[in-house]
Amino acid sequence: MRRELRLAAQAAAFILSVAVFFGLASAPWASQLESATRPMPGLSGARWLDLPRFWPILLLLTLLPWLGGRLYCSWYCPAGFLQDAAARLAAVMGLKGTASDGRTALRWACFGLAWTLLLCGSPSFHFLDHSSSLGSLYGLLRFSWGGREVDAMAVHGLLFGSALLVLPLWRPRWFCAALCPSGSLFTLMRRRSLFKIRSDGGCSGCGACSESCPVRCLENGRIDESRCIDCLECVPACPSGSLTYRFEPPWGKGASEPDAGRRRFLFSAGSAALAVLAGRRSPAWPLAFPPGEPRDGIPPGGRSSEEFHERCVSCGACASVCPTGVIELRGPSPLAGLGQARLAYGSKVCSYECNACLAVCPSGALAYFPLPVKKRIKLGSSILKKERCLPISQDKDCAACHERCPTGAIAMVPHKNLRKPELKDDYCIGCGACEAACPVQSEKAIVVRPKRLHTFAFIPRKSAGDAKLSDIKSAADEGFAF
Amino acid sequence: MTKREMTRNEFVRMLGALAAGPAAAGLLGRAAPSWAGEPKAGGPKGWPDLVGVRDGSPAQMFDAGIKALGGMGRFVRKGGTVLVKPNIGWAKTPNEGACTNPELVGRIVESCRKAGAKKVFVFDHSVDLEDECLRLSGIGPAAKAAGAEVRSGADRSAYRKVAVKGSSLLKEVEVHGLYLDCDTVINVPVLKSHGGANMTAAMKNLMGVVWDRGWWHRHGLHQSIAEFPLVRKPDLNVVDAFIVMVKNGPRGLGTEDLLMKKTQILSPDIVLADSAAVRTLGLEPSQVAHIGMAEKLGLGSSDLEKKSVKRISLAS
Repeated sequence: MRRELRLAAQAAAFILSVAVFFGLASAPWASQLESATRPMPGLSGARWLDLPRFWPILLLLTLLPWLGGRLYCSWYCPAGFLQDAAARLAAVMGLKGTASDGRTALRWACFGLAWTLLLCGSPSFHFLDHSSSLGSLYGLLRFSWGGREVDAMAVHGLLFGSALLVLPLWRPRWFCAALCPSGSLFTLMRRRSLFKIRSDGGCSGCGACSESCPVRCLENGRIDESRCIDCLECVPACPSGSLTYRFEPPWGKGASEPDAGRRRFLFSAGSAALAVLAGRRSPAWPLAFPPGEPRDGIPPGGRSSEEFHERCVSCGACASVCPTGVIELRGPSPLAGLGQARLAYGSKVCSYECNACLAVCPSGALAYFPLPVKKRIKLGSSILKKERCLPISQDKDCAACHERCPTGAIAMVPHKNLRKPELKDDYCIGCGACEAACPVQSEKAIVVRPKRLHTFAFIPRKSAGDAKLSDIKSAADEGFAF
Repeated sequence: MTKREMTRNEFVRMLGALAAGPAAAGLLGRAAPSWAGEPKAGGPKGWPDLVGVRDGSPAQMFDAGIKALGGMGRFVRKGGTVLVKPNIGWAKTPNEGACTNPELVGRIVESCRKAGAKKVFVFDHSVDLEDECLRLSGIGPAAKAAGAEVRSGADRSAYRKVAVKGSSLLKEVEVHGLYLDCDTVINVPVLKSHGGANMTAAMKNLMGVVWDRGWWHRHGLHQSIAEFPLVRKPDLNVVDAFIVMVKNGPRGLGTEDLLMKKTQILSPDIVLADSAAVRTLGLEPSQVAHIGMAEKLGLGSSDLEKKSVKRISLAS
């Protein structure tokens, strides 16, 4: 029963993440729930403590390990679920997996690197974070056949995805035991958890527990605490009942002796982290951003360039869900903001009918706005270069920009015997539709200048999206016009 | 385009349908259809060159119009394939008048299926994001419910380069395979004003089967629109003028841009259909350059006086 429950919980979390990333669950609660359960991006967003949606993840990620160790890893994590699925496949194929070592220097180097980067405000930790890497994989799968360019995110998704799915054939849950920075944090915390798996002796050495363990962290009733993910598979598997899951508070009898070496390590790591935080000067660590108006836009919900670049953790969630691919994971300069999201105008458009990126951002770099509000966010302003515009410079009918503009910011006004575009900046939201549509080659006649600070645009008229048939005026004529 | 002889059986059925149209309208308690004089010279078998229908729902008007034209069996071969090409260019809802009416698209698909079409395809090379266009316009669900297969227009591999014979500007064009390969093409535009072409109706709607529209804008929008039907003329054009966007087209800003005209224009002649459409929009054919250009290329006639036009009113 416990086994089925765990499987159901894992499957539900996996289906949720797939549904969100493949655009099958459009409800904001679905994407918010998904993003609220990504430990590293979520904790990085919680640095600001200014949005109510970060409280649940803080609670979840402190209470859960304190209660039962790595319950997140065994009962929820979609990356863990995929590895379990691969391991099950291996069992069917008759491959016998061996354990990964949980005490390697590599593991703790990964842990230190990822969390130091996060605390310093650098987004590059996402290359080590399981949830961000899984997002890259989803983005690759969703868009690779849609003609989207292959970027760094796609390559990372491919590497991570193949390693995640292939390695468990020989090394079950290798990522959880040997690399995962979130899992390592839980491992450190689980020493003090209230519920623990305990071996009471009386082990007959039958090996049933090792067989049942998805991490292979048990041998003859001895648990390797550095790798255990608290899945509880072993407890019912033991025929002699020598394994129990019980309430054993750290202050009670039988509590483990404090480990002086571990304490020293934690203390020094904590002080180092504090020192880094205190010594941080520039928010855009590691390198300053180029001054002046940015060349590239920031996605809707980013509020301002400064706020956005400080909060974006490069997890790739927004780029993974963006239906047009206008969001690229490339910072505003080659070195600053490695892998941070930006709007790549040119041939791509920020869709007027979409707010998927805002709903999915786990770090709060993109604040959530419902679609009617997002439609008014002014990402930039369009600039018309008259000397290149077809109707103005070449006397040719065009209106390609006008027909793409979703807000009516481009009017067609009489010009000689044709019509030319005229911009009304108050209504322009900087979505890039006009720039993408402009047929003038080499250098477009209309381009978006992104804003460093997002504001709101006017709406030219009452939105017609919910127009009723009865609102439409009837034509005065009764007969045929021809 | 596939030319074929009509079987005797089909001809008899068509005559029956022709007679049944007005009779049915009368039986349904509507005023007798108003005929604007007897049809003139007329097309083959005495069918009118163009049918205008007014004052019904889009589906009702189509039923009456296609009957008057000789029934769907005239255009659709049993076991043949059909492309129904509506305007699905915009992520807009039906009452915003930017896309073809979904009910009309559904009825046309249904009618093709009833006439024995093996497969009916619907697609458009949308301007906005394709999925959003299909969903919001209601055409995706309506076409599927009626038994059509909705294909993508956003996939370049579906397009083929073809030479355009007899053109002076558009020598070569990349066209969606369905437009070239289907036995029958039914062009179902919505009538709107257009900031560039002044009007978008039958001919302009065919830009939605072309990959690189920017080329047309750069090299001559009207000339390209006029020359494109040289590749292939649609077998039937059904211009949806139920809701007409009279200004700020083709996207429109709000309800103020729309007029309820409850009109539909059906014709196998694409130039004639546009000539009737341009008057319905409140302009003269001379104000939309591609109409005259296409007529000069011999693609059809813009002279509504010389052609046989049947006008049907469904007003009760």
